Amino acid sequence: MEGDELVLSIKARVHGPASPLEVLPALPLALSPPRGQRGAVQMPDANGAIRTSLELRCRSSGVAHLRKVFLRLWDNNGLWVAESGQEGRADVAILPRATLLRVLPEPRETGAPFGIHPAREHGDGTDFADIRPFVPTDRVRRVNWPVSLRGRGLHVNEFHAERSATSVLLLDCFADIGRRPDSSLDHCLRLAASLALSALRRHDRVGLIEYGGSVRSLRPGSGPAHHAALLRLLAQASTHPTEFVQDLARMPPRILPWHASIVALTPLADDRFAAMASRLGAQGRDVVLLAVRTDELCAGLMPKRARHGLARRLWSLERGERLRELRRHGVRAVNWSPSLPAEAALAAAQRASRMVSVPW
Amino acid sequence: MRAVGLVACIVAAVLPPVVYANPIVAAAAAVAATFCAAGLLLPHLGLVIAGAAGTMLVFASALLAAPETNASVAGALLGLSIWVVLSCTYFRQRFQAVSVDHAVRRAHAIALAKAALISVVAAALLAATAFLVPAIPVPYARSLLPAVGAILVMAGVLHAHRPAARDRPGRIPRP
Repeated sequence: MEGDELVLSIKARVHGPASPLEVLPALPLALSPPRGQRGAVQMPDANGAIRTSLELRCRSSGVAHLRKVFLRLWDNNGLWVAESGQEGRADVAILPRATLLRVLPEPRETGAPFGIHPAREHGDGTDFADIRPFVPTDRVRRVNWPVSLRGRGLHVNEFHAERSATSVLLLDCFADIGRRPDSSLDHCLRLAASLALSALRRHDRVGLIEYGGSVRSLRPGSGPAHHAALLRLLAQASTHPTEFVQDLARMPPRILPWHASIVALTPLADDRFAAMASRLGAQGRDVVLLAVRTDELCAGLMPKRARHGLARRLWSLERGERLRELRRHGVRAVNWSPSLPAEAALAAAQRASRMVSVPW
Repeated sequence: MRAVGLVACIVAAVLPPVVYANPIVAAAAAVAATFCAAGLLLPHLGLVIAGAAGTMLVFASALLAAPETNASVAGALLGLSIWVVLSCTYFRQRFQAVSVDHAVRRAHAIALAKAALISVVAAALLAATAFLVPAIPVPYARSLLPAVGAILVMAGVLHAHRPAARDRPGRIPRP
């Protein structure tokens, strides 16, 4: 898991004099030593064997490939050195860290039974829906006595049926802005993992589509095994520059069901992703789009000239226009600041949906 | 390793005023030793070399200014302390980004002690040889002989410490 520590054990055998052996594994960017110590120096034992353990911290999610270990044999005074590089193979999948969210985008359509979302149809639920006259086979405990005692006959309460919802997380893999582990993709992956965890806790079904140079998907499902598969897929997410664009509107319903609520996570830097979100929204699908504020992520990386107030204002205007364009197509598009809790953006998306539903 | 180096810095700062008690010499020696200590702590080998050169210049000036020039013990001590500071700084610089095992520190300390012992013996031998040489009428012999002896000692030390390095595939990128 992102932020966790792991121990890398390396065994080596030295043929020659007993001298200090420096072990330096070639570390990928996703792994870093917590105390800045990227290797170890040890004296070989009587048989020339050494066994060293390095503590590494997982900086960002992804698959870390450990391929090469450099060995450097010093003499005691540091006057002579012999060097060697040994090939190895170890892959570490670092899963994005998920936090439980209290606010989730309410789905427009519900799916299978046994959930917590009130459906349009009536049934066994807890949310009050209506009052109707009593018919045989109605349960007595559903009788609304205050209404019935007014002399119009027996009346019973009706409730909304409770259903689960289906969410499909749509991840923008066209562009990654900022420096890892604080880039837009990292924030999107963390939020996707959090959304998946929170939705699965609510007995919803969650799917995933990584939309970028290559489209990878996981059909909606639920349960711990599905959660693990989802996290593994998120860990493999990366950006691929490409001109090839696949039409998500033609995805098979088992991957992108019609009633599914689509949660798109994007830095809104690539027009192809925005166009696809608009297309899905125009189809009548329930699309919630959270656009990461990339100006906050790359504030320290931009040259001084680009940080001018006017440039930032122009960027904000252009981005605002894009969001408005998306809203015109029925997409619940909101800005999402990574420095603030994600619940704030999700609540804003809820408000946006209420505003859309008002007829005037 | 840091403590040993700092003790050596203090010794290097104290020795010039011991040879020639003068506030200017003491201040100059302290400044040079400060350079050495800063280079040791950073660690920065260039700073230590500058400090060591300064210390030797101050010591040489003190020898010139001193009424009595019989400071062979102080000279040997200064050489040893400079050697210790340089060795400790190089050790720290080499293994700055890696965790160092206690056995490696112990081995380095033993190697340092061995080198110091060899240096003292070599210095004593050279001094004894130089004491015996004055009868030789060849000019500059008293200077040439210690120089040749020092080179031979260094070559011997280097040869003794050389490990059997069989493979050298190339440079390793610095961490």
